[in-house]
Amino acid sequence: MPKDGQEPMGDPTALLFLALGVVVGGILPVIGLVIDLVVIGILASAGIVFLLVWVVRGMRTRGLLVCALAFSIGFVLPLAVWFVLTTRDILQITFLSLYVTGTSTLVSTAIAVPLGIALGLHEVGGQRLVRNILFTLYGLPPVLAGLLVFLLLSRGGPLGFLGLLFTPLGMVIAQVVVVTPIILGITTSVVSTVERRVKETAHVLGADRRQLAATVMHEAAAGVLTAVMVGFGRAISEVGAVFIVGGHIQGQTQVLTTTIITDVQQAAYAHAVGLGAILLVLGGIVYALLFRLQERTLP
Amino acid sequence: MARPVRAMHFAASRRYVAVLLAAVVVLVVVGAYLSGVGRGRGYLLMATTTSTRDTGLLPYLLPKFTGDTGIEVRYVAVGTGQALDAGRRGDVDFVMVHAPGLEDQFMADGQGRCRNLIMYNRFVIVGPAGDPAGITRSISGADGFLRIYQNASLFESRADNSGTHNKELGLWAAAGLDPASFGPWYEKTNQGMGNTLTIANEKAAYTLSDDGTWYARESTLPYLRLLFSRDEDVLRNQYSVIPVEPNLHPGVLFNEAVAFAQWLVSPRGQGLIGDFTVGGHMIFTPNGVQAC
Repeated sequence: MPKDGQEPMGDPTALLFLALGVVVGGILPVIGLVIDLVVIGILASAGIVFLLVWVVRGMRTRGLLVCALAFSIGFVLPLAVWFVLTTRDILQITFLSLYVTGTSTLVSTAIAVPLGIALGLHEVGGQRLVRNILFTLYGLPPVLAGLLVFLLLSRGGPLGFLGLLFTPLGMVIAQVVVVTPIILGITTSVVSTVERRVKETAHVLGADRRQLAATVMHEAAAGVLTAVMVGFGRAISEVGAVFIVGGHIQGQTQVLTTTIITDVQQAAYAHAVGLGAILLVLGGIVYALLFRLQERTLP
Repeated sequence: MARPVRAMHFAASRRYVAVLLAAVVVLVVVGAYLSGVGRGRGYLLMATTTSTRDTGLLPYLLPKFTGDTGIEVRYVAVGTGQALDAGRRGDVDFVMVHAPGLEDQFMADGQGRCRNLIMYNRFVIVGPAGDPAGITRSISGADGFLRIYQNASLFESRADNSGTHNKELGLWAAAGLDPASFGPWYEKTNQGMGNTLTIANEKAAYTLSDDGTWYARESTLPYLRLLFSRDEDVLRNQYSVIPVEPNLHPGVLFNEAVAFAQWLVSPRGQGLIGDFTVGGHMIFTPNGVQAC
């Protein structure tokens, strides 16, 4: 009888199904059985979802569904290993994806969170104007942001002297333009909600401005991390803006998302599915870490 | 009543903020280094078309140039219009395109220093395996287009102002037809050759392609066949390399671009181009003319 909170990693049943999946997934190509790409894509996605939930939340591992998911990740594991070993540029592309996404998320966080907290605490004047501008930026399509950054950074444009078009830093700039309003908007919303809730109580208890701010930030920390997670989600999935500003130059500005686009243009679908799986794993790992961090901020 | 408990959290969040800012600074500096800020580009940058990329010629040719000269070459593969525009903006050092009409305009505007012909391949008509319009019996490209029109067969036009698109319009004109009058069988994809071929395959439609992209993609297009191919002058797809005019854009690596153009038209470059095959087919016929 499985106990709640039992350490899932040691459970033999799910691991058994995982191993079974690896065996089946490894043997089928060897005996010449070709599995449809769509099936592989679905299995990979299901398996990755399973892995993430397993790692983040812990799961009771006797359920049939869980075993099926373990099988699916085992099934695609040989394919994933083969894919990584045979794709020349995979490390470079993955590293650049991580760099551009991570840097732009961190820069956007550094800009948007302090600003959002200040706005939420009504520390800054012109609330309504700022809010209207913010909602306009919310509606800024990322591809349009990419186009505007392209025109800015092009040598024919005002910031052309920087020479940042078709470079990784240019891609970071484009993503910062896209992600900052998102983090800013959610942070402002969360902080002002908490502020409204806490203000009266804090006043009654004799808190001054600084202590009120500290209290609000403590209560809103989880919400701010949600904002960062949403911003990261936007950053890792961005394709239009980074394609336009980065130019998808081999060895220089190729990331996972833009390579999926060009793979489809060249009908290299298996390669594209593999890259998509890597995207899922990267995103999943970061989300898992952020979830853990968020749990520590909850009272 | 407010207590140190709150202050402790404030301090903890200060630590996070410090780490965050430090990480941001480090990452941006790394990015600036990777992007060659202040150093200038360490490599030659070319704007070319998706068709050129799709033939697979560049990964074959560029490393050999780097091996011979030590100059690294990278490229952005975009539509013909954007490739030439990148040249006009000075975002690239030279362009490799195959749209003679647009290239003439580019040179007339003084945007390029010298136009070097390097090679040509051939425009071909591909279509559904059953060939409902019967174009395999055509006597010319224009005649094939006429048959497609008469049969009102589904046709995919790239409609992206590329060299291929302009050639397609020229063939309709040669057949005495005006695409503005065509019915719904004439579809416009506004995309590159690769995507247009994929669409034509899905819809079992005719389209005009260059044989380089066709042979590179053939195995992924099971519902299409190469139906008409002939060595006519009008079906020639001429490639040129044009270094961007340095007087307009002082930052471009003009000497390196000229070195690349000269290498391409030299016996070494022309020999490599002639040796390049896709699926056993020799795609490009070298016809280099040095202009730089």
